[in-house]
Amino acid sequence: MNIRFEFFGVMQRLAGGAALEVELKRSVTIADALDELAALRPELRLELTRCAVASGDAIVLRRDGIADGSTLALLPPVAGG
Amino acid sequence: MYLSEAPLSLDALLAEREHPDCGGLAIFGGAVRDHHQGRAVSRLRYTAYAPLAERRMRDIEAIARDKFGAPYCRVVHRVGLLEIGDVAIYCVTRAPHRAEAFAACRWIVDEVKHTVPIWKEEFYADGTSAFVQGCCIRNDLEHSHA
Repeated sequence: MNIRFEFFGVMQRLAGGAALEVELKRSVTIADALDELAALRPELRLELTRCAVASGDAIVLRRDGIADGSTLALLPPVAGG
Repeated sequence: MYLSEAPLSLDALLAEREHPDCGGLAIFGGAVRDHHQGRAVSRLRYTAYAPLAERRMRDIEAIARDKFGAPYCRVVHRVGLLEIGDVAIYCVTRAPHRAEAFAACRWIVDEVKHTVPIWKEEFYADGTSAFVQGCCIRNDLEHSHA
């Protein structure tokens, strides 16, 4: 399935861009998708553990299912104000 | 409006006049300062994940109105490149008395800093830059995959 990852904060710097479209081979859950992303881009693995994942205006959980064509926003620790 | 590329307007937040029972009006503004952890800061860039940031800020206002009995609670945050002294956040609250207005204002600002997906990149006088270490907003750490 095709998934679009969007990167924010320090993730954007680590990924070298704002977004990445990936064809995932074996993902059923958000956790699977992040594992596949980390395998493709090992430099993201550590920071991924600190990221919340959002779809639209909601946080999704690692155990949630994933659908073809989804966009997942990867949100590292926040520091507004 | 919760996030703004343009300079924030305090006047717009103070224009509200629909709560004649509110004698307490609290205002907080956070401005860009020229140092952080011993390093000279020359400017900042704020970025946000707008869909969730705006929803969270709206929810924070609603919770604060109920939690503190402050009928008017508004918070706005700047995004983009900011210079020293520019205002990054304004929070305005109105409540019957000052104690609730102050408490709501403080709580809202803390919640925004700790839970809203906004990031701060600091640019230092030596030409380098770094993202400020922040608060993890994962809520599923008991399932610590990936």
